[in-house]
Amino acid sequence: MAELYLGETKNSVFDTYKQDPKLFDEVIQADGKVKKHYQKIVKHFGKLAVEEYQKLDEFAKISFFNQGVTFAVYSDTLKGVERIFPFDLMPRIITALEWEHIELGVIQRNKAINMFLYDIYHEKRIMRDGVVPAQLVFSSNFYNREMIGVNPPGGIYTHICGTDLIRHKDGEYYVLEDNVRTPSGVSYVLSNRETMKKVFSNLFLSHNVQPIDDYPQQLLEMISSVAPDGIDDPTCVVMSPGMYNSAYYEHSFLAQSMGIQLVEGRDLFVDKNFVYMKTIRGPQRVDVIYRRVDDDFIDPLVYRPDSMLGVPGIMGAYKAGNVTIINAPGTGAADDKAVYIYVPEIIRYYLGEEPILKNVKTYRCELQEDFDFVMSNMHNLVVKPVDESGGYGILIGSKASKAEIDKFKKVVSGNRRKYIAQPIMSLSVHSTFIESEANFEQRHIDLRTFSLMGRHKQFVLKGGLSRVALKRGSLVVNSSQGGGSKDTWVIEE
Amino acid sequence: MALYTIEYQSQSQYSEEVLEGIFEFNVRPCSDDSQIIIEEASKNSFMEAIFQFKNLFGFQINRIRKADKFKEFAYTYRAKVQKKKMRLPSKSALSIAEERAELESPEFYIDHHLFLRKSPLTTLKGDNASKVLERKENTSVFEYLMKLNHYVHMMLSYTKNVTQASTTADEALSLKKGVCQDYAHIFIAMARSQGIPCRYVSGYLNQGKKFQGAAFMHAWVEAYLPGYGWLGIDPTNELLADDNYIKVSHGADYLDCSPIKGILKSSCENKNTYQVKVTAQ
Repeated sequence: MAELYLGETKNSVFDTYKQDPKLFDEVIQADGKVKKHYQKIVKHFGKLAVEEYQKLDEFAKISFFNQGVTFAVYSDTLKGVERIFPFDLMPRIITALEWEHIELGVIQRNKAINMFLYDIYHEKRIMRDGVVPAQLVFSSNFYNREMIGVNPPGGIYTHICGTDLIRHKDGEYYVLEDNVRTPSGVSYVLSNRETMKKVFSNLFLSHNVQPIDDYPQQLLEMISSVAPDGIDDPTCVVMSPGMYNSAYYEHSFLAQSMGIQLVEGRDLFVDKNFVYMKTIRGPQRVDVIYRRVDDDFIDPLVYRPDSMLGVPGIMGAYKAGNVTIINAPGTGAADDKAVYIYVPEIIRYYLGEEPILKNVKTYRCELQEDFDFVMSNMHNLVVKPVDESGGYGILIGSKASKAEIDKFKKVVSGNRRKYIAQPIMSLSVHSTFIESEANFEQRHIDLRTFSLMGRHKQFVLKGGLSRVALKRGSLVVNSSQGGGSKDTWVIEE
Repeated sequence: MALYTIEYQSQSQYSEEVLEGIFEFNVRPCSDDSQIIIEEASKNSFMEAIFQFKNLFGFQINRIRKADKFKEFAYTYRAKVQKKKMRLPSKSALSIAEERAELESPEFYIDHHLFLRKSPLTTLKGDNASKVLERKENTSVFEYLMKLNHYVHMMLSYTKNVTQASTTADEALSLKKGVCQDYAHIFIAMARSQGIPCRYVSGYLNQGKKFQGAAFMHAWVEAYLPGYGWLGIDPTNELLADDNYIKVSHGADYLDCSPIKGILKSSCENKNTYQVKVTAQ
């Protein structure tokens, strides 16, 4: 079969595709040749006239609407307005060989982070040995002192990880964030695939795409495996903050696809250190809680007393080993973006291995030398708060005005522990259909992976959420900041 | 040897029916080297079984849960406590150099970080931060703590009803008024800023003496004296905690030691009162 070059697909959605030579294009090589694993898909798309493509696009939107796949954005003036997550029909393709590297790297990281969490809540060896500064760990807002000395079932803290990867223009994958609190997005992965199968069923015949639809089953198996000791047939629930949460769709989707109850704090109560669910047949004991409620809100007797989302007494039940909370409270200490800097050292310390995936060079504003550098180079850096997610509160120096930078410098100087800075990584780009242009253009993407850690089992979902920054030139892919997503295929060639 | 009878009573009244409630009491004298409970009993108006557990710092909490409606609630705790005569130090146990070596070692920080970190209640800001009593090079930890005890004692005038449970050390210092917990929070903020671990203590005072704050649950601090251990200090009365002090629990600040916590399903007005009786035998 002849190999396809850009420009050979006349009268199609690829007609005016422009390649910026400074960017790493996932689909097309610098010489214009379509990459081997994208050949079939570009050929297929190249046969589509704009109108045909737009029809398919409409069809996909209807599919999402019917599935009810929505999310809410907190900055909206109307609270809780639901939106469809923008979806791009062109899948992101990763070869099995490349995927293996990602998977090994993600598992290695999660293992080490899990050991780190055990350590910082027990012997604290890594700090005594001076590998990670104690001051840094203890000053993290997410260091949860209630977890000191607590032994979660199976020794597992980070049951579900949402490691964020980017591919830099050097072609290498870098970890941007580990997301070991309550990562979201997996429901989009599954519904993206669902939609793709409806729209392009024939493409799945010509590509050996690794399945992802067993995720809910894998998740249920994993959470059941970490039930309290002696419970053979655990009652598991998904606990949501409620319908005003941006990820409520996902909470209900996961509960439904696992076939377990979706509850809110008010549906549960603690009596004599055991957790019960209120049902029409009376109280039913609950053994495992996959909670999508932040640590601060899960128990008003221990954390924020004003929380209406939690269950009074649940931490006591957890510490007594009578219920398992997923992820374990206190995992955020490893998620702090200033602690992230030490993950390569954490891997070497506990596993005695070299990190498989790279870290992005990160400056800790708390350190004088780093602070000075950040202050004089902010226009070339991304500055992020250590304890936020979803792209909230960040500054991209190259896109900010002088006034914005000056203002941010003041903010950072006022709370140096709270900020880190990174060079502006040139995220790889992927052909993405732009509705207003009625054509494909390069857009920056990242990749959120989803991995599970149960008793004696590690699982990484073969695919993930490729998030795409829909605004031209934008590097912010978060759904809360106007990003969209793509189906992600891991293919055996 | 002193023998005390302690009674803690609390009453709550609600303007409307509360649908469900859970209460936790942190009022039970702890057992340590200097004190032991000989007998105890507690009662609650719900007649519910009391669930007991240990908190993060190892202190026993009594929890009562009411699954249906109520408009009032009363709880009583009684105990007989035996308190040993304590031998209190009159100077540091180690040399200044030895003290420094211990306090400044990284291991020491790791082992005592809970009582060295700032909490919102124990953080002094702006002008107030500059009022911290600095520890001079040639001052031993014991000497410093005694000076700080005097210093904090003089900073506030003991005044009821100007501060609340949520008042921070910073706010109290600006007001120059407060009660035992405000003295304790300011002491803690300053000691910690000098690298000396310090914790909040709640308990009872012998009511037979003319101590400030004896009518209610009292608050003082424990500071870490190298070579000795935790030393009880009461900046409200400018005293060391001797056998007139019956400790209930300690923690990073008031929030770890609040005598009563309640989470209620209701939005109505409530009235809470409590009484403490401590008699020496």
